[in-house]
Amino acid sequence: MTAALSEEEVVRPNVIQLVGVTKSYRNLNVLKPVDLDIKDGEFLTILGPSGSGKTTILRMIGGFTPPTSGRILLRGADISQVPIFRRPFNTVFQDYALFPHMTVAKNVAYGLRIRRRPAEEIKTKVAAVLETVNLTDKAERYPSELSGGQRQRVALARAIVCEPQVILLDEPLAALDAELRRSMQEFLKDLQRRIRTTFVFITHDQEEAISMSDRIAVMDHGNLIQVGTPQEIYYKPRTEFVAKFFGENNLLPAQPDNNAANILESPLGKHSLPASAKGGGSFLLAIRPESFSIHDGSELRQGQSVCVGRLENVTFLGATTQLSLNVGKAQQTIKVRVPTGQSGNNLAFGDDVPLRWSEADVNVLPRG
Amino acid sequence: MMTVVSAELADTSVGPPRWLASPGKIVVRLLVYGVPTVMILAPLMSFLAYSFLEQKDNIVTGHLTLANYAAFFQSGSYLYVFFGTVKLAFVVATVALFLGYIISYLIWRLEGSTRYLLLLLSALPLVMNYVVKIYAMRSILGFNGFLNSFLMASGIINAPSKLFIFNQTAVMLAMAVIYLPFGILPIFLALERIPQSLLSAAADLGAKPGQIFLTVILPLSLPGSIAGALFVMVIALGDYLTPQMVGGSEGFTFGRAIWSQFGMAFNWPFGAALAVVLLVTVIALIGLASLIARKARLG
Amino acid sequence: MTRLERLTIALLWVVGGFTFMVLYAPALIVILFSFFAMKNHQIDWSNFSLEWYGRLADNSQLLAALYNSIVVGICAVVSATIISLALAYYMKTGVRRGRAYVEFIIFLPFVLPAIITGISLLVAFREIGLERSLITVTIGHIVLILAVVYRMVTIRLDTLENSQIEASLDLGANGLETFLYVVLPQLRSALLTSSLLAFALSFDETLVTFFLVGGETTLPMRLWAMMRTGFTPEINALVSVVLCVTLLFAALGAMSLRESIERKP
Ligand SMILES: Nc1ncnc2c1ncn2[C@@H]1O[C@H](COP(=O)(O)OP(=O)(O)OP(=O)(O)O)[C@@H](O)[C@H]1O
Ligand SMILES: [Mg+2]
Repeated sequence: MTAALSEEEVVRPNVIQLVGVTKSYRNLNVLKPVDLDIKDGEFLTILGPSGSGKTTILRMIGGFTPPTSGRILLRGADISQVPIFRRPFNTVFQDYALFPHMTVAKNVAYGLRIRRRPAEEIKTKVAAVLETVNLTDKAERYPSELSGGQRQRVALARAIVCEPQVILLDEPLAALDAELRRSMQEFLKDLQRRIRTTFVFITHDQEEAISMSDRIAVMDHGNLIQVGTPQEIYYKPRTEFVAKFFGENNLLPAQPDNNAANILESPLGKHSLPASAKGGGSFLLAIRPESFSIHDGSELRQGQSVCVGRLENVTFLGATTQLSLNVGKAQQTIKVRVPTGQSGNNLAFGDDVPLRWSEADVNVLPRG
Repeated sequence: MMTVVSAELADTSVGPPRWLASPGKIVVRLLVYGVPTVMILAPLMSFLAYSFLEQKDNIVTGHLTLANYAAFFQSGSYLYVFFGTVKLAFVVATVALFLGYIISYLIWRLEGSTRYLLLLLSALPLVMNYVVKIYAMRSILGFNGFLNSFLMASGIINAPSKLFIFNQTAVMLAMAVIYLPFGILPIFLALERIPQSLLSAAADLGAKPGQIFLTVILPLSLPGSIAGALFVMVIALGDYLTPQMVGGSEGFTFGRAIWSQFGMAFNWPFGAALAVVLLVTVIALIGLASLIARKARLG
Repeated sequence: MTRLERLTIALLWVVGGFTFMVLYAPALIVILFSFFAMKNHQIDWSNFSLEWYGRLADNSQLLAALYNSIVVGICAVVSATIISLALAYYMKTGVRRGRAYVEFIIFLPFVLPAIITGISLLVAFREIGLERSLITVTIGHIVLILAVVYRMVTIRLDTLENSQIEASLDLGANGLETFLYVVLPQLRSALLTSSLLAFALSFDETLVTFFLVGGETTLPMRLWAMMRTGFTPEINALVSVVLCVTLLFAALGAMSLRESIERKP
């Protein structure tokens, strides 16, 4: 899947480009210069902790607030000066912003009515869209008579009926309970595949981002830190922040070896310093718990390494079991996740456990 | 589908440049800030200015002078009327505070639709015609009025009394009745602002209803109530028709003094100066009220 | 509750009941007068009649004043509503530094004694050479009721989420369309309430009108003038009618207020 996606990426043109976009409120600089390309038909998620500037980016794309500097391009044309109502984007608001005095059908028809489309066309399109979101039987209801999930789908229907080039969604699932949230995630993803419209989706839930997105843009403190597929973000984090943000990760200190300039030394042993991580100083190694396995003594393949850790703790997680081990001279604790049962039942606390991993799974990060 | 929208887009990019919209914005801004200024602030300013104009032989000369104010401060009778009116308004406000508090408190204790109905009933007199109310008060208080008939019928007095009409008492009584409803609403709101949890907490700590009232309800609602009463005082200070109707020559008030300068006496600059004195008094009262209200909110 | 406390409350109810009676006494007396003839300044209880109501139709001066009051009221309410809507919508759709200034000005006539507002307008109209007439009265009423209408419109508008406006713009509507299709319909009940209230205020306005009225008078002015020269009983009839109508309006207003509170989503 990864391969297929990246092939597609090559041919996908950009719908929206942010070029050096910044935003300040008075003296407060809430968005450092951001460059971001949004590709046609992709599901792009903007992910980051609260206050990192996600909404700000979305609102600038939508035209609700002007950027302080930089340009926003729609298929190459600068739209910084185009007012909201002329931008071919539609937004799904966090609070849905359904019009309480209009029925579901009227809400959905609003954008078309404003565009003075013929009544016939409005009718058929609204019916079709309501069908898509499974709300045909609720057409004559008022928003106050709907459940949270239904309102959510009305808001979606209202946005897609105008056939925008991009749909902007600001934490649309935040108000839903866990179960509804999961089913809406699937629904959204499925909908996006069917209508093949670009979705720009905001969340601060990592799992949601990983399971739904074609690409993820990670933000922190007004900086766009890394953009990539979920796999890239998960396995190839480029900063400590990204490495820590998604799931469990081992972060180990590493120093350049005194004798060889391109060798790093860590509690796990020696690693070659990748060309991308140049410069002196210290580094961090990021390696996922599931990237380790217990060394069974079989022959090592190319690029694999081994070390030994002392078992400190064992946590049963269901399908996997997590081991806490102390490695290296500094007795650094690392977490290792292995399929339950594979480790055998003969491990005891204090045992030395041989570990094996592939050097390709080790990420060398600059230390922040 | 997308072509349509991008066509619209293209429209704007070749359309008029943005700065052309700014004259419209300037007009809107001028209207927004100009209309209230011209309608309200400018007249107030011109009235203030008027109080500094000189009038000679019934003609406003246009010279600036402080003579109008000097005339007020040097004249014993105007000062007397002024302080008499302040006292009168103070009594009216005190009555409104006392009776208004009782009524508000009783309504506040109620529940359900009776509560809503009684609140409505206490606000309704506000929309009864003001002139009619004065007229009716005169029929009640007058020499042959209801009050005298009632008192005679019940044997309290045996001849109609002149105590209730054409004097300061009459003005006070009439104003109290007319302006009481203005006091009830703010007092009720002050009571409403007391968090229910405080009452439960006090009861939980063993306070009896009477103690809760004295230690929690009264101290918390009093500042807001006083602010409401000061509002009543402001209205009473400016009234010039009620005194005219029920006050007779003895019930002369400051409002009537101002009014007469614009009517019979026809000395507008002097009237304006008197009104400025009233304005300053009122601003002081409003400042006091908002100070009390703010202190109450801060707890 | 102790016995003392119960007694106190009972006593308070007596005082409260008496006060309520006093509050409504003026209205009741006028209504009584409208059904009975007066003899030697005393009511003749034996003589119930609807005669005064019948005579109402003949008092053309009174009817003209009533008509003027209604026209002035409607013009003032409509103007004040338009101004309030424009101001409130402008303040809503952006960060407006001047908001505090505008609101301060608007609320001035509401908190200052009517006599001050009356004198201000009188002086200003003379300065610009505007003759006193129903037009100056209407302007005075607009100034007075603006605070009420503006307040009620902004209270409702402030509860309107910004995202409602943004959603409408986002769906392609311009500012005017957004105002007409999204904002105005949601202000309907607030506008109804404020119009009723403002009309009642204008209809009853006396203390400012006194300074601004010209040859043609409004109903309170006419009533005042008649009171000074001697009340004729048909005034009681008219006043009873007016009382009932205003009470009806007020009740309607109170109900719509209640409805608008309940209908808040
Ligand atoms: N109108 C404003 N005026 C001043 N500061 C603002 C304004 N809007 C946003 N900010 C600031 O900009 C920063 C980024 O805000 P933004 O809403 O984009 O965060 P976010 O990533 O969407 O957060 P969340 O997940 O909580 O929604 C915050 O620090 C916020 O305080
Ligand atoms: Mg946000």
